[in-house]
Amino acid sequence: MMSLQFLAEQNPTLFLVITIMYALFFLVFALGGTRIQVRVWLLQIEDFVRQIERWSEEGRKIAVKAVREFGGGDRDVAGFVEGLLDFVFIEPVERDPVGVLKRLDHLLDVRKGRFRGLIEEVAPRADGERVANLEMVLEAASALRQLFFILRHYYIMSKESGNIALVSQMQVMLPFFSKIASAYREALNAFYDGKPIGDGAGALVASLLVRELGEEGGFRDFEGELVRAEVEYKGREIVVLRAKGPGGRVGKPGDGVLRVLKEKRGKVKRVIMVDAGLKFEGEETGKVVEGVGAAIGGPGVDKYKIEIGVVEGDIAVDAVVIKMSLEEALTPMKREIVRGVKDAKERVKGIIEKFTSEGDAVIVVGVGNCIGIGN
Amino acid sequence: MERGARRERITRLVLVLVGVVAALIGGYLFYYGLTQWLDFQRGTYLMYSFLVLVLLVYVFLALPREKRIQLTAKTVSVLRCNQCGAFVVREFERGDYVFKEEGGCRKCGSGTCFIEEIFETSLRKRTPKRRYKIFR
Ligand SMILES: [Zn+2]
Repeated sequence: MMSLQFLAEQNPTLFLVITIMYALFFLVFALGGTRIQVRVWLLQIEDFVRQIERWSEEGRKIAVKAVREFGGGDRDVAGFVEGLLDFVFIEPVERDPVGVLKRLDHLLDVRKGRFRGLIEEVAPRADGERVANLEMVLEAASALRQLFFILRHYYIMSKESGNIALVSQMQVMLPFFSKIASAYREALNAFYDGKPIGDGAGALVASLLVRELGEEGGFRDFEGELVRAEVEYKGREIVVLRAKGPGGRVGKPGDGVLRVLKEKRGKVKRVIMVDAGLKFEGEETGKVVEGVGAAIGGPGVDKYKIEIGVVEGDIAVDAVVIKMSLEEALTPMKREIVRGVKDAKERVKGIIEKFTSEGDAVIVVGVGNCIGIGN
Repeated sequence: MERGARRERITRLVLVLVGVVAALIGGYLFYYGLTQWLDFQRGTYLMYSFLVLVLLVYVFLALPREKRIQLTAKTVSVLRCNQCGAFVVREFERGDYVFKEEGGCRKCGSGTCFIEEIFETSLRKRTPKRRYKIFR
């Protein structure tokens, strides 16, 4: 305090200024600390939301560009795409759960048909594969747009409340939203180019297996946008199913498996499902793990059908999972995943050798989006 | 987003102004502390200038920055001949897909080239830490 006393005597004005500044500094941070914090966080959130808005707009433009490439005549492509991006899907009521998956399945079929019909209408020059890819482009652009709407909604809500707890909740989630948004954005570009994505790993395993064991081009069209091939491996009859490529399709493996099971009544001893699975952060990409269960994502319809089918026939279900992150599943296939695919193919052969005997029939399902992966 | 855009810009401007004023005061105090007073007074002024500096750093950290997106990956197609096994790696072209036929083999002349693999490679090693720095 010696110095302050000295200063007060020597230069009272400066002393006063400094004292007031000090007091103000203290007051501002003690009383307005949280408000300042809220302000800062809101600025960060706003910047983030704006960035997602730009990405969503970019996505819309890519979608319009993609559709225009196959457009015919003087259609209002931009308006049409806008309508498709805002296309809503209302999930079936779950309060009465009886048959909810059947209802969901039906509604998804209707949605798909309608969506596809609209795309075919606006892009008449696109063939089947192109239409499938356009559908993926529009789905990704739509997801990005929905994400933007949701984030803007919560941004405005938390801003209006001014509540630090609400704002902080959104702020801490930003890195996760950022990951999801950039994954969708990269996915959109991959779909536009028709590049194979990480999610296609399962389908690639199916194709490699058929190419190794049978002749090339052994696949033929099957129901539910699937392709099917029959090969023989060490005396076992193997039916391989995957979605039809190289368009962006996932098909309906549930229907396919049920039909094969019905066809080969009692002969099928195992169903082996190969799919891309979410890894934990820090886990190695492309790692292959084995397990039991119907390895298939999506709304659960196909999983349900396969489970019903195998329970009725008392058939074992094996899962071969190629691990990757959400980003890696949606973005162009990484080299590590290609390596994992080759490993997974060997694993499938191993399971067939170990757990089935000669004369058995086995179904191998390569699950995943076939974009950029030919049959 | 347009509704609040102007107010946000004003907020940002105010933050910058506060920062500039604080920097001027801090600089003056720092200069004063170093030159004008006896040893034991310098500490006080250096302390004040330090406080101002803290405020300054805080204000500038609060200013959000644009996230820059860098192209760090490239997708390549690997073509392989089904006869002689010769392979070519080239950049992915639109319309490529795995197992696509890509014409005759240039090396042996009798085989056909197929796209064997399509994958993404990193051009530069990305340091995983940086990706979490976006929001500090
Ligand atoms: Zn050759």
